[in-house]
Amino acid sequence: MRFAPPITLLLFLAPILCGLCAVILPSFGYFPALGLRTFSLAPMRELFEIPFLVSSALFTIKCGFSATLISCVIVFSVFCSFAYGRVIGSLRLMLAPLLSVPHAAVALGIGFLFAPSGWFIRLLSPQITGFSEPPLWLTNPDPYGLLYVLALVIKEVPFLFLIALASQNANNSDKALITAQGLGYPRREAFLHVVLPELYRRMRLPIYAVLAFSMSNLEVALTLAPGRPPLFSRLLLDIYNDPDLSLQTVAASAALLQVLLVLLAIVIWRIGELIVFNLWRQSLARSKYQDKKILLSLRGKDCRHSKYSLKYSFGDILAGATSIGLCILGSLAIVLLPIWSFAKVWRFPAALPQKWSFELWSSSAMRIIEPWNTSLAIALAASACALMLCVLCLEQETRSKHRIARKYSDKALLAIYLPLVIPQISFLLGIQILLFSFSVPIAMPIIIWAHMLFVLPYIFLSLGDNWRGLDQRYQLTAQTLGSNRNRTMLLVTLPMLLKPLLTAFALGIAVSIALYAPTVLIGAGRFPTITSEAVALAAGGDRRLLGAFALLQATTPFLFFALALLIPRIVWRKRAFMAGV
Amino acid sequence: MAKNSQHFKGLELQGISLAIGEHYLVQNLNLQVDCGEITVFMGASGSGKSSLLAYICGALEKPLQASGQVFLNGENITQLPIHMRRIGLLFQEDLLFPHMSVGENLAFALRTAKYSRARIKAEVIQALQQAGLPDFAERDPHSLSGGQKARVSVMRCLLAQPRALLLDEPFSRLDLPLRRSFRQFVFKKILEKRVPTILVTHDPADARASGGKTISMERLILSKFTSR
Repeated sequence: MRFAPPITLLLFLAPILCGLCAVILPSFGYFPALGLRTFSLAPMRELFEIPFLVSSALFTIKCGFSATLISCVIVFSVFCSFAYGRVIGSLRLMLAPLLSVPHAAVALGIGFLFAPSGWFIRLLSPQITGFSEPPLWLTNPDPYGLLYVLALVIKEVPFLFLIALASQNANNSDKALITAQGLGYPRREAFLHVVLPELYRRMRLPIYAVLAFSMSNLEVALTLAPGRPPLFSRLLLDIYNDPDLSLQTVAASAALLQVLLVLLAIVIWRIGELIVFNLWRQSLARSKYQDKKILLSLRGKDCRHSKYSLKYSFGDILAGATSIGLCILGSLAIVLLPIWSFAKVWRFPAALPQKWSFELWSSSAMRIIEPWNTSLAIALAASACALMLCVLCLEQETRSKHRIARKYSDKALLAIYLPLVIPQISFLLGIQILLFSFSVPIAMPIIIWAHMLFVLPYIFLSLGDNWRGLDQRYQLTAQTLGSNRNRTMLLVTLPMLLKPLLTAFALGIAVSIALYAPTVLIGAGRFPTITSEAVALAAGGDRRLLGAFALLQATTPFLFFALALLIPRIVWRKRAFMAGV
Repeated sequence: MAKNSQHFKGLELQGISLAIGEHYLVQNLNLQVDCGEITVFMGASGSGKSSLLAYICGALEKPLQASGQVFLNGENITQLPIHMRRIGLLFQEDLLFPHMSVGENLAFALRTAKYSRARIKAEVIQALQQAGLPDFAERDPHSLSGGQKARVSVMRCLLAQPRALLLDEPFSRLDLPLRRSFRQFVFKKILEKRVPTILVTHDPADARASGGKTISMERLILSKFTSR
């Protein structure tokens, strides 16, 4: 038990750091497994000879920044407009389910909605557009990466929104807001100057994670991004998949460049942050609300002025409408593509299939069930292991009387966010190079462990707050009643935390089901999951089969979240207090 | 008069000091609490009352630092882990485990003693009768009134057969009439079982009712208070 935190950190940091090293060495020509034992700059030189390299890098930065910036603006304006009211609550209900849907499912769905033969054109055809055949437009993938950014925004807004909501609760910022309003600041000024700085500070790491993911993910890039110039991650994968083994060193240098690109982007973002916050502080100093007289007069008169009244302004409504629009778009994307799997005949301008059938599900059952089994096996094993490690770490934290984790909480959090901030594709490639170099056979446990690297942070973040929030006097009371620490954990702590434990487990399942890069890079295609199969079908494969995988992708995580809600209700049906926890 | 700690039956504190950094909350406290005797600590919040109880039962958390020895029936228990000290602890809140029935809560305190099932069941029923709550074994603790919960909590504590009791303002949550009757209930049990008890409180009425000595926390810093 005492060694749980260091072991977890080791299991966690070691592969990432080793993976990065294993990328750095080959990118300078050192790759013993291929017989290359001298350092050189040749791989770098070769990399820069690849056409589109610079334009691809610039395009990647552009897309990453747009997706992150748009998501941030939407989330912060929603919080600014509706801070801590009922609207936020209902938005939460709408956005939270989107969080559990894999990126790939949303991206594939968006692809279908906006394709030339897609659902939006079908909806308008033939009455409005006059098309009786799909037009020959290039909307999927579109040359500007608009759909790529849209799909990312649909997925990242719920993520950032829920993180903001959680840190708001941890922060008592609603009270700060009310106090500031009581001093005469209008709601918006109060939010911008009192709440936002602290909120942003707590969201910085998640935002960097979003930025890194937007610049380095594979699943959305392979489904929605254009081929020329390609996104950097796609370029990297192409080099890596090249049958010419000598290009492996070039792939490694591309992976290194990918890390540098993301770091550069984070540095630019950070500089931008500093500039904006400085301007902000100055504007506060110049603000007319600094003047006490105006402050007092505001309370009397201007509060009735429309700008300061409780009525929502145009901006508020726009912020709300945008997020609701994203919800609708996301829901359409998830719902419509799976319809294909039940369609027998669905010709072009029809908005819904002309004939329905279950034919695909019976005829392709094996092709669907096998990847589904693999997905479930990996997800269950990875989440179970990760959950166990998290429980041991948290219990150890409870036992050691001076909260190690709290003392180092910022550093620990950084370590936990590491696999989310460093581009997955880069260190996974490094791990792959290591496995290849030591001729480790690719087997299920290795893939499960690779998934665990990404599952564990989410489980820890989700469970940690609930665990630390439990009144420790329950455990103390149990111990004074003669129960030792292990018995106390089994009979008091774990049962009382049943619901958070199951929710964290379901979150782990959702994360694992959604993962693409670890399955493909470490598994080398030998263990196809529903996500890897779906992405493989994206480029013009069978839309019916694609629909089936999209359906499973979207529903499997839901199933586990539903169980996580249902099981505590059944187990604690006679315990009123537990039902409320 | 002070007795030799080897032969003293009851709870004895020797030279206990409590501090946060340089700031002392308690300095060199020496105290003997006889079996069935209730010693009352009074003081403002933040004066270290609860920390003192935490030290005695083995649950003191950093950054608080403490030194001194705790003896129970002549045995030095200062280094024992919490669950082996057999010191009962009652808080303001009842802290009944919300995921167990009332009966299971009581049985939890008996299970470590390796009794037979039949004996555990019999003791639970007997304890509920003594608390004036017969037929409550299957009930959800959440459905009980505040006074009922408080009584179950005391019975649970006593079923573990504590060798000493620490009460951390256990009455202050209850409203006045209930408080008096509950206090009588607890004090009667303490006399019956002859448990040495330390009570921490704000309420002078608690101190008067206890019939034991009353110590003011403020005096523990400057003077070398001692019961010897």
